[in-house]
Amino acid sequence: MTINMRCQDKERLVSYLYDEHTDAERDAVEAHLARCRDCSDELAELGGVRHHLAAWRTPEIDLGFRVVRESLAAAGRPSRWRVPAWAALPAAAVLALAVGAAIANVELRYDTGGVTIRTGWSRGAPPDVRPAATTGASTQAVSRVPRSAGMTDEAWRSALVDTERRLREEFTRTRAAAATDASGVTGPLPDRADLVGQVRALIEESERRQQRELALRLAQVVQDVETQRRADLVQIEQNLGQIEGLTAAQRDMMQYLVRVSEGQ
Amino acid sequence: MTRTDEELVALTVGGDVESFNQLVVRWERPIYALAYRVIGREEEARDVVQETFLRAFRGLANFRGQAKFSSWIYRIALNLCRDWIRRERRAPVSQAPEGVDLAELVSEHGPAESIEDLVARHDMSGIVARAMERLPEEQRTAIILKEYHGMTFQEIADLQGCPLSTVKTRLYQGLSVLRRQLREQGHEASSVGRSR
Repeated sequence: MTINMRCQDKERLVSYLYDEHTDAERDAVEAHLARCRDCSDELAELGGVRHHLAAWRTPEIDLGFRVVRESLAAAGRPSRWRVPAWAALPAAAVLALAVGAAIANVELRYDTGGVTIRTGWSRGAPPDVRPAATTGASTQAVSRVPRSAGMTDEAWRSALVDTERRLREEFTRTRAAAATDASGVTGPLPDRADLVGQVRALIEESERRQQRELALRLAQVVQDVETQRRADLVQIEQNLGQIEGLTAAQRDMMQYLVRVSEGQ
Repeated sequence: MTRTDEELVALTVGGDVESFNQLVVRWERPIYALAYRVIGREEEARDVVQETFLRAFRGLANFRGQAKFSSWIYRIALNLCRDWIRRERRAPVSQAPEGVDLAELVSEHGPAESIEDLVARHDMSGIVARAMERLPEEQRTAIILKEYHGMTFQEIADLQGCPLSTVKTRLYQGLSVLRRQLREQGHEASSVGRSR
């Protein structure tokens, strides 16, 4: 079958340009080109365009996409989500409390005896750390009364009484030893009742000072929490403003990123 | 032994994830090149590639082999590119490829090509990119699939969902517009003649 090509028959010209034609089409195009200068020039110029198109390069980037099993991915994947500002608020408060507690060395304890608040400056050595200069007797005197699980109130009371008795005996022995030592000292001995009164006053003053310091520290903690809360609120407002200012394209991109991340 | 795409697909469906990764390695760069040229943005093209393979992986069980794997994955990528263009409601924005430098070009082409030619080629890359971005999406995609992916008219027609004659018309119209644009910028389409 003979094909007669016309100048308007651009589909055949394209087929010839890309060398994707039947033999009959090729013969028809070549016969037309031999007698039509315009189509011949056009074909040459389209070939020139193709030559220029070959210069269009793509970036050399490292793609490196891989599919990994979910269990492996989950194990090795760091948390990709940042804590939002609104969620960080209680965290900041807890952190501030923790920092405040660390600064004040506050110890909060809740047990069968109720809630106990102690501060570090009123705390002695840890219970299991005994001072090196402590004698065996005094060590025994400060030893704690253990309360094991299942101990009845009667047994507990009995243990307390026993401890009190041992403390009194120890105190009596210590006083006698002190009187013996003091007998070699020249000068008048201070009145014992007066001395005890002074010591008691000192202790009371010390306790009042500790209470004041505790109150100050707690006030400081509360102030820190409030400051952090205000700062977080400002941050939240700024973030909300930024989110509201996002363009539709950015929102789409964020949604896309979330969707892709959820799929991984 | 190099397995065919279809063999790797079958292995993946059978639970061998690594086989799918071989498919990714085999096709990620052509898909990236396609996405980059269609939408004209590096990062978005990268996203398209990732989404393409994610969708392919999830839909692999439904891939019955009625088409070649490459055609299937090209279709996914093209649909994603089309979605992106429609979502953005704009033509692609050509970016100068950041990963291309003269040193790299020299190392690739060796001493046979002069520095002047390399620079000219580099410049021409940007000129072509800007000219291509002005084309209607269908013409641009047809040219990309034909010129850079070596597809037949019929394969392009299948991907674009149009008659074969429409593909030829799109190619002709697109090339003609490019010829005019290049001429306006002082880049005469030299008489190279038929090339393949």
